[in-house]
Amino acid sequence: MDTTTMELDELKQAWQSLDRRMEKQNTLNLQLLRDNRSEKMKRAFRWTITGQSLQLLFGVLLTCVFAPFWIEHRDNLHLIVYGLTMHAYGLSMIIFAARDLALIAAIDYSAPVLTLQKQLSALRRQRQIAARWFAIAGCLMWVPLTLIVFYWLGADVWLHAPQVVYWLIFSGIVSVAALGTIVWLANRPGFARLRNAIDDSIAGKSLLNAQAALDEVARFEQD
Amino acid sequence: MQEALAPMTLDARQAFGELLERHRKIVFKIANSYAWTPADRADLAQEISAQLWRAFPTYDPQRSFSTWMYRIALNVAISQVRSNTQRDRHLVPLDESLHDIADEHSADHEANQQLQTLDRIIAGLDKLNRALLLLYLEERSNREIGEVLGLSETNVSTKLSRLKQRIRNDFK
Repeated sequence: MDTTTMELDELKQAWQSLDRRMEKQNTLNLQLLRDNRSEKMKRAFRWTITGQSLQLLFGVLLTCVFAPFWIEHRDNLHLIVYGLTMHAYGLSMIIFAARDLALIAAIDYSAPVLTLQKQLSALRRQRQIAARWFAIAGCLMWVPLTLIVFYWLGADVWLHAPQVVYWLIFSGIVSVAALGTIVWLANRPGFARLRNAIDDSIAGKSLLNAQAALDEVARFEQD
Repeated sequence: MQEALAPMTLDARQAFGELLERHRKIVFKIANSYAWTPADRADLAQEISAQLWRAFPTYDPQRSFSTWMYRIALNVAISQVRSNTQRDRHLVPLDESLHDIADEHSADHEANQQLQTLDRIIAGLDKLNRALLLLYLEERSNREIGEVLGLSETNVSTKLSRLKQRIRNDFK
């Protein structure tokens, strides 16, 4: 056969020949399918689920600790601000983790291919949004946390040394700026490795392939 | 989605085993089309079978088993966790990749050549067009292809025409 003129209909012949050969194939037998080495499948989202469950628990813990804190100190504005900030951070951990877990639970491999690929991409998009939020919040959250810890140790920093609070806030802002610089650098040509490392850490290895599939879905639908 | 593999009744297990045996070539063909080394194929075939097993309790016997199986198998293959997308794009399978499906007694050189061309064409397609081609080669109706991929019959027909044209252009 002249392979340069192979038509799609002719490919069917090759496919049928593959079908016949497969019938005789010894290595591709049913035992392979029944062989219970399916741990990989179970591991596929295990880390994501474990991570999100821990995040949810940690969020609940923060809420349980800091909600009573600001309620108890309703007459001190700066303590309300510390406590409310940490409370809000804890709530955001709960919300993002719960949404991730709900999306993972909704993934149905028997759904049409394009539907599933969209579900996976929605999960990844949400994780990217959450990762950005936590990256920025992480640069700032240690400020109220530190101030609360000092308060618990008996030192109300705001009352005795407000300049330290300003310095801590300034340090937080510098951290956000440093983060922004790294992200900006990662998006510059020649920093692909940095960009990939950030993508990996943000999206989680288990979902990177989902993003590639999303791109293909978009191209496929537009084609 | 990730619930533990639920214990099935003996009847359900037998039914699953029989259906899997009857349609096992679907799994192997998809594994063959989305993974290039024997080890990767074996892994992918097992991932697909594990997901089939997991989803089997939700399978509606009123509906086509093969359509359900194609959906799951293609979904697993397309979204498999291994980050091999870049490799898929650029790797042209080695002739050795045909070894594990080759008939050693066959003297049919032309058939081997056809298979190599087919392999090259499959490798040159993105994952979704690969799924489309695979279903077409399996002689599935446009309606069934649409059900598997989540497209309308008209859309399938249009995409198949474009795919034919693309293959003609790319491989002439």
